[in-house]
Amino acid sequence: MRVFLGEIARIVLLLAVSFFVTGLIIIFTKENPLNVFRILVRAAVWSRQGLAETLSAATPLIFTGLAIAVAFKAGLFNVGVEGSLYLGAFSAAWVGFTLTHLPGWVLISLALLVSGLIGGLWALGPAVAKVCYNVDEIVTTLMLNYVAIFFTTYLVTYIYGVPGFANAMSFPIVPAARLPRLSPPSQLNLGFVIAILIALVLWFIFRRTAFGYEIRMLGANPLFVKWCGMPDTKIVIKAMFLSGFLGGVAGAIQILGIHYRFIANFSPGYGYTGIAVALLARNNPLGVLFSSFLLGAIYNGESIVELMTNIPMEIPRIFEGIIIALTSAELVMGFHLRRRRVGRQGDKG
Amino acid sequence: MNFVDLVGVTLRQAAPLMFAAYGGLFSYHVGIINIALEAEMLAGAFAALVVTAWTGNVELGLLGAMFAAGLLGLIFSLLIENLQANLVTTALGLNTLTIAFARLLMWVATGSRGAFVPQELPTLPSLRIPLLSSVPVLQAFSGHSILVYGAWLAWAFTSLLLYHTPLGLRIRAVGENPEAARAVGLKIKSVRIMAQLLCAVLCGVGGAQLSLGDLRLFTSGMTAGKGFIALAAIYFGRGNPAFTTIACVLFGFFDGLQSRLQLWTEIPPQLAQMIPFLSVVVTLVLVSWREAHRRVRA
Repeated sequence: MRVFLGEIARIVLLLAVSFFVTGLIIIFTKENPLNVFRILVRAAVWSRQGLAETLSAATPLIFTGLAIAVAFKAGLFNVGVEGSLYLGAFSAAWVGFTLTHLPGWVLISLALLVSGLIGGLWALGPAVAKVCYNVDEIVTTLMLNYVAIFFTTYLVTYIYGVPGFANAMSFPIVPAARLPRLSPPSQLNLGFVIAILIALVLWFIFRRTAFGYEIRMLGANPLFVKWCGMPDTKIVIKAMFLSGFLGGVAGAIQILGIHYRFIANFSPGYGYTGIAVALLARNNPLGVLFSSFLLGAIYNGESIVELMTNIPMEIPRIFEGIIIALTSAELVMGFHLRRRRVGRQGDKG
Repeated sequence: MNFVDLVGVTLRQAAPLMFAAYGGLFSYHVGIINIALEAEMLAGAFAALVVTAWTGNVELGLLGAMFAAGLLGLIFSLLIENLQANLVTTALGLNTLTIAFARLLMWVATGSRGAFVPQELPTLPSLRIPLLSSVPVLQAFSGHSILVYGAWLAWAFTSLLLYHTPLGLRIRAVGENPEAARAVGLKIKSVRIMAQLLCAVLCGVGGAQLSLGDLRLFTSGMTAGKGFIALAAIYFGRGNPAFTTIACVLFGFFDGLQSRLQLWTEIPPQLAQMIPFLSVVVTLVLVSWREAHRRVRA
């Protein structure tokens, strides 16, 4: 319990510092940060529609946050979730505009499954390269993001494209494949419910299954895993596949729930924002629900803030960057010593 | 196919990678895998263009690039040395932050969001090598901006500094065995910060070549993974400056090839654009595969 409270204290401190630094930057743009935060809160959570839009903005972040949490928990720095997301999104759109004769629920489950598989397979390459030849996964996953983005753009420009649009996009999916909207006119859709279910499932996997234990141990102490005779290469492969799978589903949900077709370069960087989501949640699946809500609110509120003030849209990204950069920093000197002592007394953490 | 043009574009594309990779070598040898190369290059690219546009002076722009990147490097190393922050996440955060911050500054200064294209920008001086420029094939090596040649000087600088000076010895000692280095009285933290500063400044110059050398504009996406490609070059060379250089030229070639394929052939541009990134992945895997193979046989 004390460890848990310690973590909460660290997260609150991290948020306070991040808000403070972001506030300073807002002052630099000659606006009043308190005023900006007030508009943001009012836009993002005060009204029913605002709240629905925030949840809608949080939906892809839950998936990418979970995807990255799985990898980080296993000690794998998978920054390739963006690539899995693009390929997953395209696969979902492909299923949605090709297998048009299937009934809706079959179509939706098939699209989610296929996009997850494609996203997972995409993450397997770096995983295999890592376990077989010790190739740094940060470099390979990041490089493959560019490949995935260019490749999907190629597909919708040359093969599955609808001519006549400035932005390359695919044919639309059939209406039956659309995820139902929960609170129109907002874009909140069934994907949000799926996201919460998956977060719960992942929480269960981490806490109560052998696979979850293996992942946690691999992240905490890779040598221990090796010396215990656990199949460490298999765990890496499985963790990366799961991470990519979730990334792929993230893309599919955006297509089936919001865009209804694949659009080139549609993601504003959900895969990268997922890093902030996962780190802020300390890689805890339930924590991801809260951190993605926070970042979803900021991204959603920012669009209103931008209309009403002079604040450019880069502010949320700056906030996100500060969170990622400072998340592991010991913001209070000596705090880490205390935490280590607490960690020795309590056994769970 | 135009051989001279291809060699020229290879040299130009390799130069920023080389600067960043040599910088990264200092980090690598002090025991830090530096993922913030990307951010440091971007800071350099931005500062170089802004300062040059403001002052009308390229030399000041270059200094500005070194300063901005150095400042970022200092922040990075203070975070990891003094606040015990995680290397990877801190660097990733700084990458995100730098992109957003550059866009914010660009918007505040110019009101534009996409790209910053200053009018009447003074050019980086270019170097025409008297004899080479008249020889048919060798003329490919003449007439580039001084930073393209500077990249090769940076190779000499890096090799000399790392392997033939007391500072280089200290850097490698700290990277090899921090405890032993501490035991003989080295100030580990200062050596690490010093190496990180050298790294950042070199990255800044690489960034300046990106914005001032070729395109003469700034967009927040202009580094496009180049910092990570430089890191891949270091992995390729296992920390050896010569092999790292080879990798940079190789990756520079694929980047040049990509742009020329778009000009000369009917290949869909997106497929051509995939080439440099795929080449990095394939090269890294091949090199590591060979390494593993050799270890098994030995």
